[in-house]
Amino acid sequence: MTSQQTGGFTHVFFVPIVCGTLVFLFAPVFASTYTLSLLCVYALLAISLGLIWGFGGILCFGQGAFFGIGAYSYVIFSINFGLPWTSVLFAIVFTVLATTCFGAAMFYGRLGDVYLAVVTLVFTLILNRFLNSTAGPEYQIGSARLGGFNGIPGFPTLNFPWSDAAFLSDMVFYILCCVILVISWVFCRWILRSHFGRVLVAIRENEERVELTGYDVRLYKTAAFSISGGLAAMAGVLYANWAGIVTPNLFSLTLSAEIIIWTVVGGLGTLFGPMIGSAVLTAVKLGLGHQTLVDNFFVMGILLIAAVLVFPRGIAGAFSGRRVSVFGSKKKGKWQTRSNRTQEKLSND
Amino acid sequence: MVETVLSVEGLSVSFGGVLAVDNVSFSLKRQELHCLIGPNGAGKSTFFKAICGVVRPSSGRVWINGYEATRLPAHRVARLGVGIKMQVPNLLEGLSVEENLWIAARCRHSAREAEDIVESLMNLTGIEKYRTSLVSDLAHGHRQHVELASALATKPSILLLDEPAAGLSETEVDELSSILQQLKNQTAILVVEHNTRFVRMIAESITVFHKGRILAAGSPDQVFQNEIVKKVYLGSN
Repeated sequence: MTSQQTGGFTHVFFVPIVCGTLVFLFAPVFASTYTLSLLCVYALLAISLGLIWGFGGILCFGQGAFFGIGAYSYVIFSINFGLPWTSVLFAIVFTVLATTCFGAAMFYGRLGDVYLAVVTLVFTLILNRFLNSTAGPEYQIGSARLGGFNGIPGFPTLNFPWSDAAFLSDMVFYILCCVILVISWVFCRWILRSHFGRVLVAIRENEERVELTGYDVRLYKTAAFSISGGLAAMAGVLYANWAGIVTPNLFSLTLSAEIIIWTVVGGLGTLFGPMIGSAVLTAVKLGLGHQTLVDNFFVMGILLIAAVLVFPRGIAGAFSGRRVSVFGSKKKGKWQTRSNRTQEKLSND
Repeated sequence: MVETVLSVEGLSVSFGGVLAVDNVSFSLKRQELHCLIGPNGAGKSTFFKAICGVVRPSSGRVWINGYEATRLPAHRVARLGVGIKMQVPNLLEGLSVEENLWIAARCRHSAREAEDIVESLMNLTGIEKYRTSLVSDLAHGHRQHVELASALATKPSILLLDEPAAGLSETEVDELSSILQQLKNQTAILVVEHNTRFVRMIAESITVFHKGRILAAGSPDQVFQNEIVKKVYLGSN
């Protein structure tokens, strides 16, 4: 298949992959793989919001909740059945089902954008309060005690498939996180290049017009919401394995707000932007954790305001120079899968 | 062959205590170009929205191409073969002209067919030189054309246009009239309009709304000579 047939696939697709691989390979020279794994997990979480907010116009405060549901469901399943890799699959499927039900209720209920943000926020807070109140012995699912605010420690983490005792080292876990992040990025790009992705962008632009054209907007938004939930669940599973414990703090308002800040600072309407935002801001936060002079949140707030003022389209948007589009354009009598402007944009991605 | 593509029976729409459309029956035949006129607040646009599925009727029934469409959501009404252009240009503002049309065409056609439809519609409506322009950057007249092309992109059997000539210059109205004349052999067209000059140019039949009811209906000559219509809408002169 030639480059022409693939619409510049070679250039647009493989350059970011190669650059990303180089970054992933050399990053351990500058930071511990333990820290870098967390950055990858948060980048995946940021992508999950970037997909539905940046491309679907769905501002969701519930990413922290889906992150937490993914982590908790992985832990509960792995404690009960002792199958870490099967538990990963279970956690993702369970979270996708949960987000589908939740999303369908909101979108088929014709909830407006602002109300959707409020409902997802409240959903997150309810789960946070509920899990904080599960310290008693009656809150037990199979062998897994929910543990209230102490959370659930001591569960089977990911291992090499050939031996239960062969746990993943920090380096191997880091590589796993990198691979999953890259696969997720490719998956999201594939979605956005598809008919589904284009309709999603159209919905972001004008929901009523898309509906009057004949698309079931509610179905598209529910599907996007479910995909986003699945990505957040994957991030939750990786986080559980990274931390070795899950607590109700996963459902905290702080984390949900942070995901939104990462996305805004990194750049809405791109996939790469939220990843950059999460990496930069998490690195800053971790750096600030070593000092007690100023409050972390104060600095993060100042950074957010500064970033919005200096880079209103986010870090990624500031370097693209042109409008964001996932559409192709028609050149030389044939529709290309990627137009020049999109190629430039995606090269940045 | 005379075939009714849109049939409305006893349609009423009320908002609280206000009866915006009162027991209206109406039909549109294949290849007919029909205009709805009437003073402001007559209920034309509400009637239009009730057919489109944007507003839920209080009572009455709507059939589109033989299928009952009463209370169907807008996307299902569109899928029955209805192209819709709303009163205020309603477009995908952040996307280009061709992207707007592609999204609409792709809804009911394959990718390859959609490309051809986009090209032919840009030629028909004269917006091909703006193909890569953002819709939000276009002048009002061109935006009206883009929305008309979007409505046509699904190849509808019924085209519903709410005030397509609003805000257009006389030249643009003439162009629009010419486009609709070309289209009427392919699709039934229902136009809600205030511009009587435009209506006289295009209409084969006219229905006049007043206070949520049909005041008069018939050929343009019959309607414009009707004394009651002159009194309540056109003016005695």
